[in-house]
Parts: sequence; structure tokens; C-alpha cells
Amino acid sequence: MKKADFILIAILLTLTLSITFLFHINRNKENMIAKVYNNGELVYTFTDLNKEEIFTTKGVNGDVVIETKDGKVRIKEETSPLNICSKQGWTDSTSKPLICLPNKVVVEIVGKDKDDIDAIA
Amino acid sequence: MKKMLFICSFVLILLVFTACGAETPKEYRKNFSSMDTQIFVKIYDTKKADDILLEVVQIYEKFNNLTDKYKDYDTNGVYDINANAGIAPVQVEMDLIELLKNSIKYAELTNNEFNPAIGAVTTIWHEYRENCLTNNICSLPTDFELNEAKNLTNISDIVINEDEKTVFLAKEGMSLDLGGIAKGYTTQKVAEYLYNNNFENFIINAGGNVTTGKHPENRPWRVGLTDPDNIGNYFEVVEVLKKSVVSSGDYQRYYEYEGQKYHHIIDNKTQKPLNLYKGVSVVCDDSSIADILSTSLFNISIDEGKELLNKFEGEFEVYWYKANSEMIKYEKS
Repeated sequence: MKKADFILIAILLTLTLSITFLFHINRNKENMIAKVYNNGELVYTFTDLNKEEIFTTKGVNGDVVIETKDGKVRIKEETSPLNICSKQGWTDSTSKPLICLPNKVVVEIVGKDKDDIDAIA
Repeated sequence: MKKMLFICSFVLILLVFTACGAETPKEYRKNFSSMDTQIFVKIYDTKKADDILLEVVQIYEKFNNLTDKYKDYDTNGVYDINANAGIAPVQVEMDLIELLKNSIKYAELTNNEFNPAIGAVTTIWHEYRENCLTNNICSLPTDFELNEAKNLTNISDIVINEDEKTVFLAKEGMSLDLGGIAKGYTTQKVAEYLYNNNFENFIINAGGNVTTGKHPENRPWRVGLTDPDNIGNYFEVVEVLKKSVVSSGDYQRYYEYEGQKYHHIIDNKTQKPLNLYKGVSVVCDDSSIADILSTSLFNISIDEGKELLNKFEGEFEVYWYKANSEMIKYEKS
């Protein structure tokens, strides 16, 4: 076997290995996004939870202000009895959607999270 | 040399194939509002699940309309039965009769801790809660009011005529309240519908009622139990497969008056919410049983609860989160 053959094999192997590697990385790091539903309709999608961003949608009782920051999302301001919507605080987990029934607003996180819980009862 | 190259290409092809994982089940999601809560359904399958998801929504909508006591719908349901209490029998769909028969059976098994005829009492508490939460006028129902209502909560006054497909509430002012079973019962129906249509991998979260099928990765589902002291977090994780996990808690619907919490799980003996526990979670095979048990266990002692569990067949796991935040776990097989 010539030296060139070895080089060829080495190149081929590294190439596929890196491709496979990248492929796997991409699959596992499916970006986390947050979908905002108002009265059942998808009204906005936060595509990067790390970005500082504010989205406001009109709920039943008034404006519902939703904020993303540091990979998390929360309902920042809203009007509801006992403020049960904003009281839920920040979430970064697919098993912890923000549910604001009085305003008919829901924020659902989609993607792969680090949380190993599938749901909360 | 040729041989070497051949082996290499073989390895390469193998790598590419394993990377793609040709037949991994895809996730199909739907979230919608029904039965006074937000319902999240996830189905995993290699075949498309878009249509079955729409059918799932329809099943919830159907039972929502049949069991809603506050709103009138085209089809006759609990609302119409209540409106005709003491007046006339109401013809309803067989599905509602089945649900009512099950409810009465569970009422007998739980010694009325679960009582589908408790509507007259829960309506009073509902009005006081709404008045406090929306108008900021907070007070408590009087003992007189609650006592009057108590006389209207006998399950023997629910008259079902299966031949005529009618339901009649014998006393005026009586009212059905299926809040303690409707969600669990419907979720059980949905789970059975999914199995029957060969969708085995799924998880449903209907506001504290989690029902699971198989997991697409062949492992158990991990379900957190809501920490009543820190909503949104969990105090325990249970691993389940083809089971339901239902939590009832004082944190779900309540109002506060003079520093005391008044929640929505009304005790049938006293017509009042008790504060023995902040939360009770039940794990078992059937979502409707998990539902009625989590509410029934909420208002009796742990010993009475264990006795009650003995009346039911099958495996149960119960988690009591006591008023002093102590957790008690019990398994029955």
C-alpha cells in the first residue's frame, strides 16, 4: 500500500466522521423556540430565547407582555385575578408552558431542552 | 489495497445511515383550550398524526359541551339537566348517561367523597370566588346557605331512565357538577381512541391530568408532581408508562379571605374546602379513577384514604402533600 492511499483513506474518514458529527450536533441542538398563542391562534414565535425581546399581545383583560432573555421566557405584565399569569415566572422548559387562561394566552416552548421532565401534573 | 478502500467505503455508508436514523417517529403537537383548562397533546409516530389530533380536539369539545354546567350548548347536557331540575326529565346522548352511571358508581365507592350531585354547593362557592376575584368583594358563604344546599346533593335524586335516555334531577335547585371527573373521563376516552387507532406513543397534559401511552424512545415518561408551595416546580418525579398521573391542589382555583385560602375542592361532609393537604397526586391505569380519587382523597385522612384505595382494583401510587408541607407516599399493588 502506498503512502498516498493512506492519506486518501485518512481524508475520507475524517471527512465523514466530521459530517456525521456535525449532523448529530445539529439534531441534538435543535434550537429552542417559544410559540405564543392568543385565543388558540399562533400570533408570534420567539426564534431565539437568548435574545432580549419583548412581544405584546392583546389579551381578554388587556395587554399581555411577554419577554425573552438568557434562554428563558416569561409573562412580564398582564391583568388577571391574583396575577396568576405573571406569577408563573420564567420558564426554559418544554414541560412548563406558560398558561394564562384569564387572558386566553399560552406560551409553549418547543425544541430540545436540558430538562429531563416530560410533563408536570 | 482495493480491499482496504472497500472496507472504508462500507464503514462510511454505515455511518451515514446510522446518522440519518431512517424511521424515527415524528412529534405531532396540538394545544387547545377546553374543559376550562389548556390541553397539550403530543403524539409520536412514523405515520402522520395531524388528522387524529383534530379528532382528539373534537372528543374533548364534545364532552366539554356535555358536561359544562355554566354554558348552554346546542346538544343537551348538564346545563339543560340542571335547568330542568324538579321540572322535567331531559333527553341526552348515551355518552353522558354512561358518564353519569360511572359517576354514581364512584360516588358509592367513595362514600360520596366524590359526589356528582354536589352542584348546588359548588355553585355557591363559585359565586363567592368569582365575586372576590373579579369584583374584589370577598366574603364567605353562610352556614345557612350551605345547609340549604346540602339537602339538594343526594345522588339518589339523580333519576336515569336508560330506555328513554333521560336524566331527571328530582329536586328543584339541584345541580350536577362533573368537575371532578369530566377531564379524567374524557382523557381516558381519548387515550383509548388513540390506542384503537394504532397511535401508541403519546402524552396528554390536561391541566394537572397527565396521561401517557408508550414513549417513542422505549423508556418511561418522567412526570413531575407540582410543588404546591412553589407552583411551576415539582417536589417529586414519577416514572410511568401507559398510566395517568393526576394532581389536585389548593393552588388550582381559590380565593383568599382574612388570610385563609378557600380552594375549589369542596368536602361533601362539611360543604366547605378543608385544609388537610395542599396537594394530592394519584398514579394509576385509568385517568378517570385517578381524577375522582385525587379529589376524594383530598378531604379524608391518610388512613381513610388507604382504606378507600383497597376498594379499587389495580396498582396505585399516592402522594399526599400535607398542610405542613410534609410528603407522604403510599403504594398499593
